[in-house]
Amino acid sequence: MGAWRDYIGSMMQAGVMLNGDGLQPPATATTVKVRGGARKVQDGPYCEAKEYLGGYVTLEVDDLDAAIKWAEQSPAALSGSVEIRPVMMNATG
Amino acid sequence: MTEEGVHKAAELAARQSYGRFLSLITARTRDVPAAENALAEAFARALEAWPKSGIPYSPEAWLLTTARRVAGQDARRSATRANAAGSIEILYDEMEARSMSEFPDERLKLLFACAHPAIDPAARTPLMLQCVLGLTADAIGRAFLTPGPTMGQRLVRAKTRLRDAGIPFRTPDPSNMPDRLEDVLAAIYAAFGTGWDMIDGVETGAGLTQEALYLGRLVMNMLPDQPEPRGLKALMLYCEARRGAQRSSTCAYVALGDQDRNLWSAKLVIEAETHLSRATSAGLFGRFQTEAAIQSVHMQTAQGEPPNAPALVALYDLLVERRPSIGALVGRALAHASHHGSSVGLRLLGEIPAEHVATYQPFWAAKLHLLQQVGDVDVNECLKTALALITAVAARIYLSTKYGTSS
Repeated sequence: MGAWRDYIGSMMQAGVMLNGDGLQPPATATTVKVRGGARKVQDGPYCEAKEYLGGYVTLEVDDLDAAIKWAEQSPAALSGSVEIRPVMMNATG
Repeated sequence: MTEEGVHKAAELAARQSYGRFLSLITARTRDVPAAENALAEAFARALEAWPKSGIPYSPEAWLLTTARRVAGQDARRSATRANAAGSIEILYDEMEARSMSEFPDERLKLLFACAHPAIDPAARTPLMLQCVLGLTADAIGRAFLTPGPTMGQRLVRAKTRLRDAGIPFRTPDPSNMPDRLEDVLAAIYAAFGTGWDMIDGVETGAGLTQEALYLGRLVMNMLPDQPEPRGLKALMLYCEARRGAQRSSTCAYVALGDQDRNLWSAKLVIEAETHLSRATSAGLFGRFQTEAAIQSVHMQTAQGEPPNAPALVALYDLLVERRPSIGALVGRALAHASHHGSSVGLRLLGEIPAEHVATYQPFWAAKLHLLQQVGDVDVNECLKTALALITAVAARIYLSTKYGTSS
């Protein structure tokens, strides 16, 4: 976990990280759907896939290039991949 | 003011300046669809206002100011932070600068943003052609041998990403340049070529060619030590040098070999040669230097003499080895045909996958030429395809006269 600690530490130090969490593996997932007014609770993830979401961080950076620079330093980029998405802005500003 | 006069003035401004307007607005808002709407609105307002007020002294300035105002208002209404900043910048620009030659840097930023690695590689050049030069999806589709609707969808996706993915618009620098330069140069050259193809059409006219030359010069001045922008400059200058010789006194198309050398611009040829030799002295191979060198061989051919075939074969082989575009493959087949015989050229044409050339006019013109040289009597089908695909009127008349068919 040293690599993760260093990575998160450097983001904190740069002052770009707003929040973030690692997630427990998909075996712990519970999926909820409401269809036709009825709630359906299932154990397991909403889709079975070889790759799954392992966690997220919210960064505040100027642009995509800055985000890419942080993403490529993530330990996850070495074995899996890091997906970058802009946060949706609040419609009322 | 007559309705007709107003329509003409608006149409002229649209034809000459649409692409520049679009890029000037988009460079600030990053929102191509919104810029397109703002421009449409500005043109609609012009058609309404000008019959009453008269055509303004500078229709372009009127349209750009109006479109910017619309874009600024739209951006203020939408809530994203980036757009709000953009709208303030737009209003600032409006106060600050009204001349038409403003913001060369803004347009370069937009060009290089379109070539960002986060944009689908197949969409990069088309995106630049649309949002920096204002070409329609159909026209771009023709240049890229892709159906218009397919190109349209690709462009919509790319424009959304350009607006929403957080791609920065900044002055290109050596750190982000090398990867993106080739795409940028390809777009400029495609615009230049499209301007030439429409030489007798009224669609975009020579305006696009001039835009391409202008953008090419901007990139070259920004990167004076890079050989490829200089190679592209040389390539475009060679083509420009021949402009006066491409039409006879009756406006008929004149093939390269038949052109009167005296009508070529010696000044432009010398300028092109100078750029090319300076570019190649860097010793770094590139597509545009090679294509310029091919033009150089043609330009050095004396009147009535065949061009230096071994040189052309070597240059086309080099070009195809590194960058096997359809245009290069067809050019290579013709070069080999003049050096090793027409049947060799036909064989090389036959090796190009049929689905790539179905709508590529130069392929059919080349095939027609070679079939006739080997004495194939049945050239009619090939001629029909070549004629059907051609968009320049003068070239169509040339082909049908040469091969004796009316179309």
